[in-house]
Amino acid sequence: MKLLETTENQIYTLVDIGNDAHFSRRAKSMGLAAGTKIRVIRKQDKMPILLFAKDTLIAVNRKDAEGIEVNINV
Amino acid sequence: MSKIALLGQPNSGKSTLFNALTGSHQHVGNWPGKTVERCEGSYKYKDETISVVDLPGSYSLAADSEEEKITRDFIIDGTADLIIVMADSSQLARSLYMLADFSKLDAPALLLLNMEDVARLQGKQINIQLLEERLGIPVLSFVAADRKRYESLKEKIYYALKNTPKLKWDKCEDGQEFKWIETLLQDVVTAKENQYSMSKFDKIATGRILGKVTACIAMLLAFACSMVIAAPIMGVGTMIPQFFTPLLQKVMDSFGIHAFIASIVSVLVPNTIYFSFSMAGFVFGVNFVFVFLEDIGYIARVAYVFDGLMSKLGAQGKSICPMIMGFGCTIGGAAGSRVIDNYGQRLLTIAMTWAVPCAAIWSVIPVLATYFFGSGAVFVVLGILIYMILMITIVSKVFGKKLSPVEDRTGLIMELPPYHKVHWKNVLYTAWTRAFDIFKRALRTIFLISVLVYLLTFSGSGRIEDSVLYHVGILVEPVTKFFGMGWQTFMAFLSSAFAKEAVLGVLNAIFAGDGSLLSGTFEAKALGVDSSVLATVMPTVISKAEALAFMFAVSFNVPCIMALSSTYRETHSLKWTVRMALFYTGSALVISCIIYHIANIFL
Repeated sequence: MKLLETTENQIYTLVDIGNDAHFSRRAKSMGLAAGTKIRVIRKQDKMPILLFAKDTLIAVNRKDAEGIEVNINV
Repeated sequence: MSKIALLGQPNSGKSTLFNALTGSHQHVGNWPGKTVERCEGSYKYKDETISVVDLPGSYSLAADSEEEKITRDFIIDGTADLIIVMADSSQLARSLYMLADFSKLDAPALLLLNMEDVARLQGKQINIQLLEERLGIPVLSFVAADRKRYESLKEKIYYALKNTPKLKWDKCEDGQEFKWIETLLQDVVTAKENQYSMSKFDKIATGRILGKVTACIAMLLAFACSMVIAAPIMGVGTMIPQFFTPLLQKVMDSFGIHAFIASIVSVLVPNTIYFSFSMAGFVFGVNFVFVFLEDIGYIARVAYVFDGLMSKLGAQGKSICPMIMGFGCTIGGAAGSRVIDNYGQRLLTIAMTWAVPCAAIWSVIPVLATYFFGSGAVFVVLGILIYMILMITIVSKVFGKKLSPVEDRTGLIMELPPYHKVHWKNVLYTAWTRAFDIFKRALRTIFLISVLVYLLTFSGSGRIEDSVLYHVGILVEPVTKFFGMGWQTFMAFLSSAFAKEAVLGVLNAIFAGDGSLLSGTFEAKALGVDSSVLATVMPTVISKAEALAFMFAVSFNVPCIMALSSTYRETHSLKWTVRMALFYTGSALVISCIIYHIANIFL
């Protein structure tokens, strides 16, 4: 599923960061890469998504979140 | 002389480190041909001078942006004898990314693990010795904001410079960065397992509506605090001309020195010192508050809630801070723009902040508007606010193309650091060095411009008709009339570029014949203005259309010389400061022209 479709307080694993090379490199430098475990902290309308990954609270804007593919961790 | 370079992501504490290492021994410029800031400084340790280059903040060495290209090339170049790679102790798994990227290049390095205090609070322990053994380079646990720790850092650097240690751990392969970090960190970090939960305050601070409201309140409070901190310093400043001007005047008179020279000494010099003093006081206040807000981690929240709005303008969320500050004082806006880590965006933010009318304008416009429009003044104020938004948009289009190239703009992805305890010494020290720096440099700029204004406004007889400005005003009046201003308003318009309060002082000198142009301009803040005369005489000479055009022209003219001078200080680019000034003067005349001609039809 897409990062935009996730629910708060769930844990997911990143599968794909999307096609924008520029963005995916930036995401990687912030600790987000395929295989990274994330917890969605806060999703508000029209606001970037807040997630917790690798000990850090990270904000990701909605447009790029559309391109990020995640798997739910059970 | 040895050269070291600082490498780290934005928010890694790199600029705190740079400032603390070099203090006032720094010079800031641009990388040749680039709109990227180059900070260089030096410090002495054991009789050796070590020069420090602050590499532009970049997220990686991928060469995605101008900053990253410069940083990468600089490291490959081998100009530096040692690279200080910075990482965040509280989140090593993420922040060692830069080191992983760096390992692909071959350069001597020292690893600095910043934010040791935060990591400790979170119950994390790092086996520095093991890490050092594995990497083969010196590793130091550190708190950049804690000034007591710098001796040990300097010592470590001193010895590292003698050995030029290089990484002995395997080079990281492309795409394997996190695997590389994971292997490296095995058994290095021990942490208590604790689940993150968002604090109540953070829920408010990051809320879509509440977050913005909180940020605006925080900025207004920040302005109020800066004023409280600055007020005593400015108060001392005010006393300089109050005390010295009459005194010097008397001395000059007793020696029979010509009025032309006498006023330079008695009016110009004390006022220059006073202006620089007030400016420094304010810069101190603003920096104190902003460094504090940044130190505790709140600015990142402001950046988060305002990113959507600001990124449309080519700026970043943090840009809202200087812009709101601009309602108080444009100098504060320029000084506050330091929170923006990208040089181009910082320039763009300052350019947009200029469009925000400052408190001095807000003190002048309602007064003038009431003289001409009575209760209709409300609509004038409203019109100015609406035009402000338009002007900000125009500026973002005109300057954004070059300062924040569209291809360099990425969607927001940022870290929201945990709230920290404040390091007061660091806050004080940073605010002090910045204020002192601006004081030193402002003296010269303000004096030069003051001399120019002085030459234009001086009249031997004290009558306005004998000043150069009057003759120039009369001469160009046919032209300025087209832009909607007669000579009186045009003179006030020109003087508004000196100090916004001067508008009333100059108009007072012209219409009430009260005081000379010189004192109207220089002592506007100190002199009372006889408003009853202004209110009755002015509307008989100036048409409503002209008044309206004039008020817009003044509100959106270049800011006062102190703001101009602090813009030059913050951007250290004469080119961009002049470009902005020309653009604002030009657009102020254009808006004045448009409003005048339209208003003439209706009023």
